[in-house]
Amino acid sequence: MDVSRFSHAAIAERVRHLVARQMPAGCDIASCHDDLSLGASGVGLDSVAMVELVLACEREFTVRLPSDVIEATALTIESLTVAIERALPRAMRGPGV
Amino acid sequence: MLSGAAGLGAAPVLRAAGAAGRMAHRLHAGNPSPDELRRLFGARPIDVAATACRISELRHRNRAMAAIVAKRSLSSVIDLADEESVEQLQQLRRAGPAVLLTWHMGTVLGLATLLARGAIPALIVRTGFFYTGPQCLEFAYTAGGERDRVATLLRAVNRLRDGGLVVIAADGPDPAETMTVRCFGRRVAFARGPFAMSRMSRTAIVPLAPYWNTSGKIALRLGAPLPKDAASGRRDVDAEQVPADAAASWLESYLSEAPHELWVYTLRRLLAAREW
Repeated sequence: MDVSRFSHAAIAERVRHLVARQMPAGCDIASCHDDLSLGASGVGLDSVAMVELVLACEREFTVRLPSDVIEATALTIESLTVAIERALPRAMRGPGV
Repeated sequence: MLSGAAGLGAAPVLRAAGAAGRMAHRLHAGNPSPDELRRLFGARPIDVAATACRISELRHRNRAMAAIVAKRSLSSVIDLADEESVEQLQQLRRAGPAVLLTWHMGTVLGLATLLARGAIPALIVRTGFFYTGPQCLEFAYTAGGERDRVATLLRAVNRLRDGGLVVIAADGPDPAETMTVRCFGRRVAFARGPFAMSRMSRTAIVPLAPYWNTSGKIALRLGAPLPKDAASGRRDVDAEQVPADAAASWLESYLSEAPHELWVYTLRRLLAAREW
């Protein structure tokens, strides 16, 4: 099994790609660092778009993310990446996860 | 009134509150005027004076109901549930996941009371007003800002994907994301949440309205599931407009038939909306 597909960096890259699809017109994913809030104070996604993003991540990685993925911390590329890592079966996680 | 009737059951307290509301309906600006009703209903054949009096009765009865629940818990009023309406909700639950769409009208906390009576599990999405209920009811709140709204929406979508029921109002105060619908010839804002969660979970939306029946029980008017935008295959906000428009149509039809179920809050919110 090629676990490099599910390394932290690889997951983050795919999450960035999904975020780019949800971004408002005129925004550039290249200017977003991984700890930037995806909400109104950062990228500018509304609450429906943020939930769409979580569901898109679930489809992309074939996982189910818990509802509290958002309750504990602001939604960012990094927080989504960590949540996906935790939801992946252990055998599929990348090195050091 | 509630403190003076501490030993009484809920039913006589609520009857007394309703009677006080009928008597006081001309005395308080918090009650509707016939003119306000005339402005909303236009040429519809409605006895606006009698309806204003009944809305005042409803307002006082609901205030007493909310006070009872806040003081004693929802369990103290479940004997007021109409059993046929509880059975309707049981059937709905057996039919599969659904968004139960309500508005601020009719019996306050009526749907929660019916669900509690039937021990029907549901997630109730609210802006505020914390109260306790039996274990079958879970509550999720949206008043705490963006993170709460997102977490609540995700929780509701997950509940629907797991086959459950979610209760949510279309006309909550100041929703962050809204959709514009035509209702009573006005541009009315509905919360987007109910329609978005239905689309994302691919579940039905069922409009409904709890009301006090003539026996003083809490009964339910249940609508048919709202149509979806199945034909176009759209997946964004445009796909939510079809059920939202149908919800507005259902609301207008219901209130035209039962204008006395209006809350003053809802009446004034509708009147404040710009004309279409």
